Amino acid sequence: MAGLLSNAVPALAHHSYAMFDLNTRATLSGTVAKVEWSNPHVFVWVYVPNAKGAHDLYGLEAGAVSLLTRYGWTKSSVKAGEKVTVEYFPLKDKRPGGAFIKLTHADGTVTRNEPFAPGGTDPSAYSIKKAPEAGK
Amino acid sequence: MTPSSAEWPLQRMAIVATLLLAGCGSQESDKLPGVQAQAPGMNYESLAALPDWSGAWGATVRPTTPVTDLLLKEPSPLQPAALEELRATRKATDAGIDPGLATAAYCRPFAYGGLNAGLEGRIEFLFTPGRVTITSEGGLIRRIYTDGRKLPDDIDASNAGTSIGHWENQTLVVETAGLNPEADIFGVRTAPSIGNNARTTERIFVRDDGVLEVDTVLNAPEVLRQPLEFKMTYKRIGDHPMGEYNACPKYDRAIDPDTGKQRFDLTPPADLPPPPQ
Repeated sequence: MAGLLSNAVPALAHHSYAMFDLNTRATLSGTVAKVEWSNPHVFVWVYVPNAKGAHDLYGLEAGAVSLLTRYGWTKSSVKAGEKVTVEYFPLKDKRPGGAFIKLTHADGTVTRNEPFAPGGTDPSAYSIKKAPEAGK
Repeated sequence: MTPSSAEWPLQRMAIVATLLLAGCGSQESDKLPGVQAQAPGMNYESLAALPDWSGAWGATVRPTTPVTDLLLKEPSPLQPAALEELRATRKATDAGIDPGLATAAYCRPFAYGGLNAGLEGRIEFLFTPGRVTITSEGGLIRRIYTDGRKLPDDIDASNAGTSIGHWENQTLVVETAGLNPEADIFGVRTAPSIGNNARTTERIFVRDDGVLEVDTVLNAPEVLRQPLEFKMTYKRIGDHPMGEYNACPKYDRAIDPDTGKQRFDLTPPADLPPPPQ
């Protein structure tokens, strides 16, 4: 089952996040179908029950392996067959997919992509400016 | 922010003082022209006098858009040709097409253009006598010679460039030249390349709050009308093993590797199990 929350965030990444609705935090509940554990993005596939009594397949893009391991992920942190709730930025084109934010397991533990989900950055952590020109 | 002003541990100071008094410079380094054989970090024993930067460090931000925003803002620091190039790139990316990706830019090895490791992946610092080495999960290896040698007059361009450095208390100051002219400004792939004869000066230190800060000045006269200053920060990730990172579009569902067009490929994996009953 999928639902919608809201929050506005900017996008920063190695590719554009223009395809995602970064003003909306959606949630879905379902069963993990598969985890593609590879760079540059780990993909989590989830079967979500629909109103017709069947299932929709959602594809959720998470960070790179090197980023996710920073948060304690391993390739078996999210297992096929487990029931989960996922928060994500949905696709603007309304297809069943989006940018992974965090996943809640059945026991209540959370596996996160933040702060490297789109917009999960600290603006005080960097700066860029013009340097003084020589002689000025 | 200023570097940490913490005193070196007394034990380390004692080791360094002993070594300096004894004149225990590396014999191999003594043979190199211009070396500072007795400076801290010039032999294995005196490495203990250097700050503890062990473990992996992860960038806390990926400021791609702010970098290009600054470059586009009038008066732009870019030379006219580079500004036109960036405007065209921004127009294309706003339309969902990144021309650079069609040339598999991300499949090439990282090239240092003022930012270690590109914008993703961790870095680590390795101290050996007379040298600091910065490695990254993206595969970039930068060798920074701290033995007092000068930068050569005639340098071959390379992805890492040629670097020399020296310690100012607990700050490593690095000068780099001989950069690959195709390297992207501060590692932002949608920014112009740095061109020929670019140089950087970095001041690297750990702040009092434990954050590693790299303050970089990029001077790229072919594409910049004036130098740029870029501050990036990294948090220590401890002894978690370094991994590998690449962003080659060939493996990216978000980018068509043939056209560079943004997409979101939802073709299910071939070995997907059936839905639950």
